This record gives sequence, C-alpha cells and structure tokens, in this order.
Amino acid sequence: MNNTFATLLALALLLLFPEQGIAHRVNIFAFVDGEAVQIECSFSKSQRVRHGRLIMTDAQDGTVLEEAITDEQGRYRYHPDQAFLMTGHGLKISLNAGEGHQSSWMMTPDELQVLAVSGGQKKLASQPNLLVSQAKSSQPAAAGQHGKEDLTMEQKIENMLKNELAPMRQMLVQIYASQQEHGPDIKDIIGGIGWIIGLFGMAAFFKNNKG
Amino acid sequence: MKKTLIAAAAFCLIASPAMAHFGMIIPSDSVIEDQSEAKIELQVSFSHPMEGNGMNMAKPVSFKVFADGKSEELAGSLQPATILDHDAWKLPFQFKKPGVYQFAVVPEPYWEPAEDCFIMHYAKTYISAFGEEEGWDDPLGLKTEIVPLTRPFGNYAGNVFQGQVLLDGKPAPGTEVEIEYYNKDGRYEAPNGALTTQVVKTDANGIFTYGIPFAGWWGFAALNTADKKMAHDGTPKDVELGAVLWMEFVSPKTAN
Repeated sequence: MNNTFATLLALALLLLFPEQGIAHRVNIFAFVDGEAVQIECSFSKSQRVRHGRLIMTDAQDGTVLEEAITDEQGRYRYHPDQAFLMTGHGLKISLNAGEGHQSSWMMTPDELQVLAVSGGQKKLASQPNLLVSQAKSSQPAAAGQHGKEDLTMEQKIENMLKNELAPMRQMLVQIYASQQEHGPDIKDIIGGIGWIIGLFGMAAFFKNNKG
Repeated sequence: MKKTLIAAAAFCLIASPAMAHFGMIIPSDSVIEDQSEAKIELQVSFSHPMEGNGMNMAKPVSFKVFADGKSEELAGSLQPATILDHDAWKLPFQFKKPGVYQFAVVPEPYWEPAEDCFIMHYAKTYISAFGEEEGWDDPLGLKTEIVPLTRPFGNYAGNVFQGQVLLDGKPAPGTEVEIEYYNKDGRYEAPNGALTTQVVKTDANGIFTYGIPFAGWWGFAALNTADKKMAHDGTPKDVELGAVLWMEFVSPKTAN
C-alpha cells in the first residue's frame, strides 16, 4: 500500500515536471542591447526557459547585484546600476531552471563599458569601449596634474598621447571588426597610419623644444 | 637525375589514384561555448587531406553562412591564404547569437587533367554556437549535399556517422562516398594506399554509414557526375559533383 502511494507520488511529480526529466542542457546567452543587458535562456531554439531564476553577481567579488525571473520567452532585460559598472568588474549571470538545470554566462568589463555613463564623461554611442576605459585610467593622472606641478614634460606628453590615442585604438578595433564583416577599408587604415605618424611627430617636436 | 625523374613519374602514377580530391572548409572550432571562443577562422581549400597535399583554389563563386533559416553571402570577405603550400582562402568570423551555423562553399570548376574531367565540390561544415543545437538536419538546397542523420557536431571518435546524399534535392542511391582524415600536421601515415581514402556507398535511400576510427577532422565526399558536360578547350568533358561534409570527432578529456 505504502509502495503504491510512493509510486503514484513519483508519477505525479514526473507529470508536474516533465521537462526536468529530459536529458538536455540549459543555455544562457547575454549581450548588451541598447541601454541594458539582454538575457536569453533556452533549452533549445523552440523550448525557452519560462520563469527561470536569474542571479546577477559581480564576477570579481561575488556580490549579488540583482535577482530576477525570466518571462514566458525565457528573456530578461537587466539594467546594471552605474555604481557596479564603474567598478570595472565583470558580470556573472547564473540561471537556475529547475533541478539539475543550471548554467551561467560571463560578461567581461569591456562588453559592459558601453553601458557606463560617468558624470564627467560624455557617452559616445559609436565608440564607447576604449574611450571609457581610457578615460578611467587617465583620470588619476589628470587629478595628479592639478595636485602637483612637478609633472615632467615627458609625463605630460605621455598623458596627452594616451588621451589622443584612445580614439585611435578604438578606430583600429572598429577597422578590425569591419574587416570581419565587410573587408578592410583602406581609407581608414591609411588615415590611421597618418594619424599615428602625426602624433609621433608632435611628440618629437615637444621633446626637442623642451631641450 | 634521370632516375629521380623516373621515380617521381612512377610515384605519381602509383600515388595519384589513391589520393582523393576534397573541397574543404575547416573552422578553428566546431562548438562555441562562450564569448571567449566566439571569434574563429574558417579555412577554405581544395586538397588531398590525408596525404597533406594542396592544390591551388580559385576564389570561390560563393561562400555562405546559414543560420535560423537565413543566409548571408561572405565570398567578398574571403582573404587569400596559403594552405598546404597552395593558394587557398580564409575568413575570420564572429558569432554574435546562439544558433547552428552552416557554412557552404561553391567553388569554380577545377580542371583535373589526370582524370580528364572538371571537379566541383560543394563543401560544408556545421558550428554550434552558445549551446543551440536545433536546425542541423535542415538541408540547404545545394546542387548536391550530405544531410546528416547524426548530429554533425559534438561527436566522439568511434561514433557511427550516418548521412543522406541529395543530388538536386533528391536522395542519391548507389553513390560512392570517399572518406579522409585531415592529416594537417602529418601526424599519421596510411599503412597502405588503400587506407588513404576509405569508401562507403549509399543505400536505396541515399543513406550511408561510417564509424569514425580516431579523433580529428573527417571529410565525406559523395561523388556523382553532372548531367551536363562542360567544355575544356572546346571539347565537352564530364563534371564530377561532390557533396562534401567536414566534421570534427573528439576524444574524451581525462577528468582531473
């Protein structure tokens, strides 16, 4: 009698959670889409993870940033707050889609920087990544400039070059990306080389003038 | 000198029947799991894969990627490359969304004097990106193609592979399928000429079966002769149509 009850209970549970019994993995995929991180969870193209539990954590220190539930389409739009984005840490998105169905997705700081809008920095939609990261790394140097007057000419030139080269680096990344999609744009490459030569010429000019 | 030439000529005579031509598409990875693996390179060539000999390949007529019922022409982005010391092509590619991606090449006809015919190999390969597995059994509608009955990625060496050969969209019974290992770094040596290229035939439904003996990239070339001939120096010649499929078979990793 007891056995029959246990069997019936097991069968009932199986009926309640049919998907969990299927031997397939659960997938999580996330990308920056406009102003947010678009998260998509699925067992396959035609079978989405409805009401899966999502936990967003700081990939570096494990701080839980937000918990959420996916919609009927297995989707969720996550708006990370600026305080987290300014840490420059990566993001870990964990999905729990029921017993035994867990997966996670990592996003690098580089991917996320598109979303960061710091007080002093203007957001440039088309060339965000390196500009923002460059701005961040050059801020302490700029603050130092105000604090101390004893920055050497070389350091100033270095800072200037760093700032000037940031969009250049971004441009090279874009050239690389466009090469992958549309083939190389020779105009951009020649322009870029010209820019580099010009900057080094300027650096040489300042260096000579100093002496 | 004379001896060398005779030896070379003899070698050519003996060796060439054992070597099969293969249109090739070899991506740097067959399963993409996360963003760190999302950038790959595809190498497109026309080679004798087991012998590790290349032939010069003219720029392909078409090189398309298919995913989610859509396709995109990428031939314009192909870059010249040298593969097995011969002219070939390469393409960097970045996966942005989950999906089963099929890459297919349509080459210029290759004139093979030794066989007195043109060769056209419609080669393709599959890549699963970010965990998606649906759609690998969709035919692309190529002139001739192998439609897998075994999922064409995520297979162990030792698995059995089954596929159906289609010619003009219809199953092709009695078709010979040549099979070779891509011996890129000369790792293996065929113990005899018959082991360079292995051969199976399709059944009444155009279906063939093959057990993959060891890990690596394996190519399957299902060969038929086109209805129409093509002119070479004014003489009509046969055109060999190859439906070629490249897949990676792997060994399990040892758990630590």
